[in-house]
Amino acid sequence: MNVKGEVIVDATQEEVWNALNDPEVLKSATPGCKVLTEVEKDSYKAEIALGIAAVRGEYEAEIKILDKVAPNQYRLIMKADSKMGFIEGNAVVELDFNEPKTTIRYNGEAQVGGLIAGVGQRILSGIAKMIVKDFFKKIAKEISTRTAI
Amino acid sequence: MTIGSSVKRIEDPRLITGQGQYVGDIKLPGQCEAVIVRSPHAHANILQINTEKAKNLPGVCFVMTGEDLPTDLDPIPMRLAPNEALTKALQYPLAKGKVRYVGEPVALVIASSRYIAEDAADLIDIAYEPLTPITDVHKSILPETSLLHPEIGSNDLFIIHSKKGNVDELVEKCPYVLEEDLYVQRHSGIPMETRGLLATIEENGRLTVYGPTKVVHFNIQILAKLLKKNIKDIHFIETDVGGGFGPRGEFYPEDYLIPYAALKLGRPVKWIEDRLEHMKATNHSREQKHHVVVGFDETGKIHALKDEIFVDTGAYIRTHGVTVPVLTQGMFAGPYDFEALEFITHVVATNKTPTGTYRGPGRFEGTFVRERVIDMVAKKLNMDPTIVRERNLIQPEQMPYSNGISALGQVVEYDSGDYPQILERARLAMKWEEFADKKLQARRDGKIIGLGFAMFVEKSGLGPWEFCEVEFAENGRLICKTGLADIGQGVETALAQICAEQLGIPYSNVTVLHGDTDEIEKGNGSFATRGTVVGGSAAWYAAEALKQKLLSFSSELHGFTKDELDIKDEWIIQVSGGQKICPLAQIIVECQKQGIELREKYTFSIDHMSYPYGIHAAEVAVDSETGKVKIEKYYIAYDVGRAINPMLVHGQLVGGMAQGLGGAIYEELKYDETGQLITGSFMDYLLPSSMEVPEIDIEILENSPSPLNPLGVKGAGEGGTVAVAPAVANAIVNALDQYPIHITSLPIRPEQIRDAIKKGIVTNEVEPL
Repeated sequence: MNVKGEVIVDATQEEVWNALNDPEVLKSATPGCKVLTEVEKDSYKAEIALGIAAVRGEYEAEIKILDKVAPNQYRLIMKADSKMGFIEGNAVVELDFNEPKTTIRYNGEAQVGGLIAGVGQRILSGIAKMIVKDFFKKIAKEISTRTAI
Repeated sequence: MTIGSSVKRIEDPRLITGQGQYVGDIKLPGQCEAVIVRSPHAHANILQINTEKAKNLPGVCFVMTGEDLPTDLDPIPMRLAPNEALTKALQYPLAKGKVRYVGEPVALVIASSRYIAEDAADLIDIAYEPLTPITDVHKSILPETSLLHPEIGSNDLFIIHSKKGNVDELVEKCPYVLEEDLYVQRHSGIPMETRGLLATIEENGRLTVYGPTKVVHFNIQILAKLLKKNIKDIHFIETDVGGGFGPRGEFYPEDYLIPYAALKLGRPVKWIEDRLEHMKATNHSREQKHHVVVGFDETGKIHALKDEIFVDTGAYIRTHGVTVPVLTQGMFAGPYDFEALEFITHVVATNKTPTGTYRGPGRFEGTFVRERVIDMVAKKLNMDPTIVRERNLIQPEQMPYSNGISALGQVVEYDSGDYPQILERARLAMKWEEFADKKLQARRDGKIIGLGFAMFVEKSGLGPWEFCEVEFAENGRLICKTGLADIGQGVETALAQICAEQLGIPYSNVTVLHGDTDEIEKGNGSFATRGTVVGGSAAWYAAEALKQKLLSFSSELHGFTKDELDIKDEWIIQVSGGQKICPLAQIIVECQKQGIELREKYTFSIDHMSYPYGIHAAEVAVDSETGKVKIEKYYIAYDVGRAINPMLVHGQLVGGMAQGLGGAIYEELKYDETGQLITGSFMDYLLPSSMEVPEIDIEILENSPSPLNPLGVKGAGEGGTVAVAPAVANAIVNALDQYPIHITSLPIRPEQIRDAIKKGIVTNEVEPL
């Protein structure tokens, strides 16, 4: 399923870019993220607990950031496994600065497999959109908290 | 007379008073329970499976993966239409190194309870390396697509090519040619009770399995072969089942795994499939793409028909082999006399659940395509579609009629039938002549209604043989042992009626035994609408032999010639005068005293199938706001040659129609492009309920008894299902004749209808009423 959208942040492109590459920010922005460890540069392992209807469960996730073109765009790849099935996401994140705000645009594909694909289909695309939107909103919030300091 | 009367089912008192015994009801001391871990990926390499944590969980008895299967284990073989080329695409009970569909068994976990087994299943770590999933038949056969079964050398696993006459030549001569693509969606039989098995080891070391059904005697042979055990060391016991419909009772991976685990553990192992796994583990069916070319003239006469069919067979070849694609071809022409036919069927592998038969296999698909095509021809010629049907029908004097195409190892040869008459009946019953006025009136009242017809020929009575043994027990009851299985179709009642008719006893004095391999020496089972035709004929002859024995004995005892005697209402009578000679019970006792064994066996063999036929008609009302279709009137006429019990035939037709309706407008096992089944529960897989299934007017006809069996019967099991989709589709198209609608695929969704209505009336597309 396709997941795309945008979030506007009251910060410069540099500030947003740095936040998007900061493990701490990624951790607090990832919904239900309990642990996030940097395996190597731009590659993380995470433990995530989701509490939303059809995708409820504990996930072990791998997150990778690729194809960086600082400070304009990167590709975010996420793979999460649980006993209920798996979720895979692949999105291009683009930044667009328009004084004084920066727009984060994301456009990607999410795939769901296993039990959660079989039973939750009607609500999955809604859930996926909500989770992703939530992620970028939290990023925006983190940035505004930082820039306020 | 017992045959021909709608007596109550002898199965029912037990079933409706809660005394049925389904496999889930059986609990044995020391029993443990199994859970199957299934692949979440459509196509992936298995890199590693770690079972340590699961094995260490207290209560876990046994864990196995594909690597633990015996190294010399064969894959599960084909039962029907076996073919050497396809043996390379058969399935092993557990995946070995690679998974090819979501739901493929990867590991087996057995624990002291289901709860523990489920928890242990969660502790198994499996590392997969996902591969590109193949979910479309056309993409599957492209040269660049990876091969699911490399040994076969192509994902186009098997090609079936049949022809009669020269289609291309005739099409060229025809003034009109129609070319269409049609699609029948993946769906399947959904029994109320999911599958289940209970395997146990008896004190003498024998393996007993509860839960097999449908083809019990065949499956015990498969299990013996796979386990490398003597068949005498295995005992299958059929239990009550909550629905068969084709998928249930075939030999699945679990049919090997559960007995195997019981043998390993030396204790009872039970497995009950849950609904979520049923949707992806049990055979799917139906998915076919058809590309049809039809040549016809201005009178509506169809001269030639060519169909290239792509069957999405799923990831492996299962027990049915290529039965469904073969039947699609053999039965495609239906009741029509087409001069030339050609079929090219591609059996294509994809990363989806493997497929098998489902009530009306091949015919549901073919009938939809053919009967839609007939209405399309009528539309193109601006003709009444019932006239187009009439002009193409096989005439009664052409019987027996061979359509020139083979199915299940025999050329299809219709044994008897009066097709024009049954069409005329339906037209009268539905008031077709007056329908144009009714429709116009409805339109004035702001209602959109339509009427559609679909004719069909069914096949029944597949051989090669069936077995029956009858015996009078000491208490005077007749014990009838049959090689058939009881999958809810009323087999006990029908056989009791047949035996009762021969022996002049009440049908309630007959006990029918089936499905116990220790009790019944052989059998082929219940499938392909064969029970009453083949098993019924075996019972008829076995009971007749027993009757002759009784009459011989009576004639000696009472000084009559045997020909003068008969049995009626439990008396030995003299035929000419109707005089009562002696109560039957007395003769039975006398025989028993003298040590005369009142037991007879009969194996009825038959080379050719018998072909019942019929017509469905639907009157529908379409909601112009929502696109919802309401069936206002539904009619089925079905000629079964002779009905042993019309109530049972009626029940078969009603139940069959409900499933056909599901296939027409509700049910779909839908996959996304990554090979995930996205209709895995009843929230997304829509089944018709009592709210959706209409009252059905049914006419059971006995105009064309089969000359191929002593009872004249033809089967009744599948005719209720096969023509629902085209009848409903033709009715919808008829209702929306002012709108741009073209139904070529199933299920017919309200959104398609709504879209057509939203587009508005197309003035040049008016179809005749």
